[in-house]
Amino acid sequence: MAVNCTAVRDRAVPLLHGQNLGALTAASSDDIFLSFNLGAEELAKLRLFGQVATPAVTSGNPLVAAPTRHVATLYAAWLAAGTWARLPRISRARLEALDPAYRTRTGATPTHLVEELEAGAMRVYPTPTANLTLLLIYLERRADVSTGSPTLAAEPPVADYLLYRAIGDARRRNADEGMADVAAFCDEQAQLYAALFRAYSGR
Amino acid sequence: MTFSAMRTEVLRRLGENPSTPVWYTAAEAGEALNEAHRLFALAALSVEKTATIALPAATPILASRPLLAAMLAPLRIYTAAGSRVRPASLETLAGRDSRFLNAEDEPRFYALVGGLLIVTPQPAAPLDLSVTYAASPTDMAADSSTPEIPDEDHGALIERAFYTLVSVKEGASRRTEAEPAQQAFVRAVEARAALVRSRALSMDYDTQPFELGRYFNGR
Repeated sequence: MAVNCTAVRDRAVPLLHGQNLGALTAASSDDIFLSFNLGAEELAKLRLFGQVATPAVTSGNPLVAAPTRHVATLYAAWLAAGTWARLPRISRARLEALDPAYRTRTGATPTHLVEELEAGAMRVYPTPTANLTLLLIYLERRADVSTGSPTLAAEPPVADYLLYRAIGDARRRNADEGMADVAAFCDEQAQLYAALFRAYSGR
Repeated sequence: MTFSAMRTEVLRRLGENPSTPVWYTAAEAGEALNEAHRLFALAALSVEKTATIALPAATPILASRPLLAAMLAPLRIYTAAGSRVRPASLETLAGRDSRFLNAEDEPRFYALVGGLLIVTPQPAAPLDLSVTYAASPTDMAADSSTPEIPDEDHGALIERAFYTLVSVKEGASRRTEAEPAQQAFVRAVEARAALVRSRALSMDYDTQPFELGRYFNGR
């Protein structure tokens, strides 16, 4: 199931008082797609977009690049003798308290995963002495949509959420034209959809 | 009520002549009705579908979106043998068994997160699962098409379509006038959700409808 964001943009045109996309003054097509992408980033935080990755960890190097568009790891495991063994996540501060030499500690069996996302990486502890395969179940941000790539894999009501986000953003830019109340209305509708998505995506 | 009749009624409510609308178009009325239809089904979980999905052997994680079209929430999952597969959070599954992704047996639990269906234990051989789920309705397009929600709720879609079009295109000037229409929509959703909730309890469903009335009362 996918949302065609070009169709959603076209729905926005008359609602923004445009006769057609070219004549639209409240927002450009790029503005509308920007709102879609900002909205999709918010949806990522509501656990709407899950993904699986199996990155390889090289012996002697504890760091592995975080998957592209990674938001948060939900579950991590490593492949131990053909079975996935859980790799609990731990904060860097807690690991440092447990083992001040955690950066240089080596071992054959990884016990923890530290998300060093400011560096776009994840650290396996202790530093593995053999090559490993990880399994990550994580939340991701979707790739940006654009006129050339307008499809967002999501359920149909997501289209309505994105529509309200785009109209709200456009009307906020034109708030001096008396459209602030429309922006507020659209924000309320987007919040309602977000509450609904949150209610059903928690499992 | 047909899509055509509903569009006509929305245009009338907006003060348009349905055969020669000026400020609003029939297409806009149709889009607003479809949006109301989706929102109704999302809030009340009132459109139910059942599908059979083939679970491959040794595959505990599946992408659910290609398998279960327009699924909003899972309601009940059974194996082909008739055993219930119960919902659990991913955290609970991991907490119960640190190697839950390897366990082989008839599936007993599932987690659904971000379009990923995680089943454990995983079957040793391919297995069918029967999934009953709340779905987003198919858009109405043909004049003769009708909503997938019950007949007695069709009027609520007209109320919501009127409310959203007026609020987005005309702003505060007519929004106050349209507030009763929104309240009528919310009441209809809540009434339907109460029936769905009762049915969900009796059927031991995994997901209950959203409390829309409570959401608005809490704001």
